[in-house]
Amino acid sequence: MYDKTIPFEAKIRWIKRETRDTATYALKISDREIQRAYSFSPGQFNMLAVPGIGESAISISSCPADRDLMHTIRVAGDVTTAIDRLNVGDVVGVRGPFGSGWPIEETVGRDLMIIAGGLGIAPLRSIIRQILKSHPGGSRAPVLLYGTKTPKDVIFRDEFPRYRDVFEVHLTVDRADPEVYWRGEMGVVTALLDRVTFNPLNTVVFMCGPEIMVHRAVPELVARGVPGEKIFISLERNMDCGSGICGHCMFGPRFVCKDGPVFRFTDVEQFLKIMEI
Amino acid sequence: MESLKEKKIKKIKKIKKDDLKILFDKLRESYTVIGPKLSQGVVVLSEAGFEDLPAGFRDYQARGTYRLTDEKAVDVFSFSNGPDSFKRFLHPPLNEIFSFRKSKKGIAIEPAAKEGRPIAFVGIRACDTWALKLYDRIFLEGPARDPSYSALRKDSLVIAVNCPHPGDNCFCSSMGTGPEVTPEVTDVADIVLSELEKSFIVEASTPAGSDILEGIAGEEATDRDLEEKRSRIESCKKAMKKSVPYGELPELIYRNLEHPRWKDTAKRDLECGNCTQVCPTCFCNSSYDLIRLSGFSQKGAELKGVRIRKWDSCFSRNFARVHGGNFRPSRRARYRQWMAHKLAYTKEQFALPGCVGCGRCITWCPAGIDITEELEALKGVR
Amino acid sequence: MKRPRIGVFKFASCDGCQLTILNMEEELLDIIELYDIAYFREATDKPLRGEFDLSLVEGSISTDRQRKEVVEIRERSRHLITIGACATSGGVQALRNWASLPAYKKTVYPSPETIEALSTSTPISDHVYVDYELWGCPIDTDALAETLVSFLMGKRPAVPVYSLCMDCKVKAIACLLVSRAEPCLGPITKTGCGVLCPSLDRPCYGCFGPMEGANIESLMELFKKNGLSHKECMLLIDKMNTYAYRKARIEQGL
Repeated sequence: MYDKTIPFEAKIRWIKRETRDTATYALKISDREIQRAYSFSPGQFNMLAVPGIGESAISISSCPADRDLMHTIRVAGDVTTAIDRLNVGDVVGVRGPFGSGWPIEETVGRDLMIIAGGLGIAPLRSIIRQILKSHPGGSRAPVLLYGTKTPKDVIFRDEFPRYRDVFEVHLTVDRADPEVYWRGEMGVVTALLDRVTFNPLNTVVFMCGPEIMVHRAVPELVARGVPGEKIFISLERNMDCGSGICGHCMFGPRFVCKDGPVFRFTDVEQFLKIMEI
Repeated sequence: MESLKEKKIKKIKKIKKDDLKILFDKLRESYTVIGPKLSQGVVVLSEAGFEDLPAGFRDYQARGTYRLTDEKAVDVFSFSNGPDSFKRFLHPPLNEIFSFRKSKKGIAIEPAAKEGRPIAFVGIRACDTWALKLYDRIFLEGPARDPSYSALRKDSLVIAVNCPHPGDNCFCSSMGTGPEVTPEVTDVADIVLSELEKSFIVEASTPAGSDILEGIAGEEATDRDLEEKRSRIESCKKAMKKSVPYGELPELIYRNLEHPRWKDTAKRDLECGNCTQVCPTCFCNSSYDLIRLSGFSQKGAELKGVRIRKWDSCFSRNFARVHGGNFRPSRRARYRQWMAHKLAYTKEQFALPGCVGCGRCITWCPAGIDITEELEALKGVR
Repeated sequence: MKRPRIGVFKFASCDGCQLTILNMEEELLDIIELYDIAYFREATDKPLRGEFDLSLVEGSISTDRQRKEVVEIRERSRHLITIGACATSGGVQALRNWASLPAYKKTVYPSPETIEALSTSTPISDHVYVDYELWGCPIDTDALAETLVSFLMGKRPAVPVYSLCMDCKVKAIACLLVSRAEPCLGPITKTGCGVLCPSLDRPCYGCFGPMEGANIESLMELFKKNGLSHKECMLLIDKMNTYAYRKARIEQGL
């Protein structure tokens, strides 16, 4: 095994611009041995480092079977700005993978509903791609609900036709954009629940998005009868070390970096209610 | 065979008080000895010998107050905890983790070597052995074993002491973390000292501790000595002035996360972070890359620098800050985070107490905020 | 890579922060290699020409002429960083903000009528947009080096915003407030000086200004308990960062 406290080098193989501020970076781990030893499960994250600038926790947006290790990054702070300036062939530092993944075992015999908001689709794309590769067909199609601010902010837009082969997909935006023709819905992502017929008692929800979306969507799902124990949410916090020794990402008693980022809703429910926890 | 080994480890001896010097000298042969020492008018921990022990000194502590006087007391360990703890040495406040060099060839990273002799801590109280046990769990048993801590902790030795006099702000007895070094923590305390009126009882609890005791001449401890040891521990317990309702934790905190008291405390709270820095269980830190101007060469094509890990505090405004927001913008929330982490969260995270009752946060809080008083206040109706 | 053009300017100040730059002996050559120092009031007498990638501004705005000049400097600068207590919080000369200017003039100067000054001394940020502020009287060379490096790297400088106490503990300095009841401003003051005074056994007197959210009132209460009068407490904060401390108090509704 390699040391997860020391970054290893990875080369950018290609960059795909997703929206005006978001791009997907495909990385190739330089060291052959680390390459072989490195494995992750959908929902986990890496700490990406630009030497001299710092590190940022970025969820993995590819699935384990993909050839490339992908991260979909929005320009926000110093590190992501620095990554945005990099080109194909440049290198970054990587530590990871860290955290819990999506509990795929929970979906066995149940209907999966994926709810994503904005960049929150990045860690979910990992599981979406895994399902695309392995879905047996025949059983009920998993549902994917995705909301963004405007049609221009839809990430992985090119992949949605493929998603529709397996998933029942519904998209929504907060507001229209005069430059883009929009066939999806308008309004919050929770409103999409009315578009889907689902058996709440047999549904498992994987959710990732802005905190406000989580706060709205979870009570809505619970009100419709989805058991709280079957709702899984990926939380965002300022991860720094990745292994529970720096204390930055604490959410109540949970370390988002090692206990999460994916949590069973009922495990964090009491803390989600508390402001500034 | 097993029982023989057991017997070998369970070595109990009685030594003369001055023979503690022999122990120090013996330790110095292979360790860097860290012990209590007088400096700047307080008891600090630093490299120390037997003669450095502030024997006979007594400290007077109150909320936000610490005074040390030479009372020529008979006991060697007549003083109680100062601001320092082992954490300064095992989790250094400014710690280089690795150095890096970025060039056209890529990124080269060199982990910082932690060299030097192993550390022997002398005079660690029961409370701090619990904190050390917690540190081991945090840094060694997490998803990634921390190389820096692991290197500094490796081969280190702990000479703990059964606390003879509590500090004025101590409450370990009610936390179950002292004043006696109990079997729950003898795995981190290699040797336990018990001060008697005229001698020390020394007990080795690990093979490493037993090796050290090998060469020290001593007598067999009599039943009377053991009785004296017990009665001293009892009187120390009785002398403790503060307590917390341990049995009600962590629920008392969980029930009261929205208690109005947090807001009242925030008015006095200086958010200077002193409590977190002196707390032996507070471990929070931040990492950053440091590049000096000389680290640039060929006009930025090549870079070299170091990754530093520095003590941080949940009281720092940047602690929970992310781009575009702060998870804990109010002082009230930051104080609550600290106290809840001590008294509720840690237990859930590491199955060990997050507060060891050492009272340092009470003494070294300039505003004199008293964690035991705050906890009492939470019991009041909202 | 073209070296960024740097300009060092000064207004009402003692030149101490500019001298701090000149005192960075070990790093001065690196600075010259990495930056084109196009203007340096303390070190050259070249006239002001052209645009600057980065301007370092020392001193407070104390006269009408300075008020106009700072606008011109801002117009010529891609980035503007204030250096030191004067530029960042008005300096010790801001004491006149809470007093009468004629009375001050009369006390200090033999012929006060020749002194042209505004009735207030104010930080640069009261006049133009400031990209980043370096506190301190004088500034700390490490913080300046970090800022210059960060500028080249395109990141925010890693200068901590917490209290001085945090660094006192890093350096294992016993708390002067707790162990000796000294009136130390450490708990409300930004760190950054390298714990200069406490490591020389003296309480902090606030060169680096109030930290964000400084609980000034709570500390004052403490000083009063230790026997200081309100006036004595105010004297502690009425130094080179008087404007910043008083502003922080006003923001706290005091």
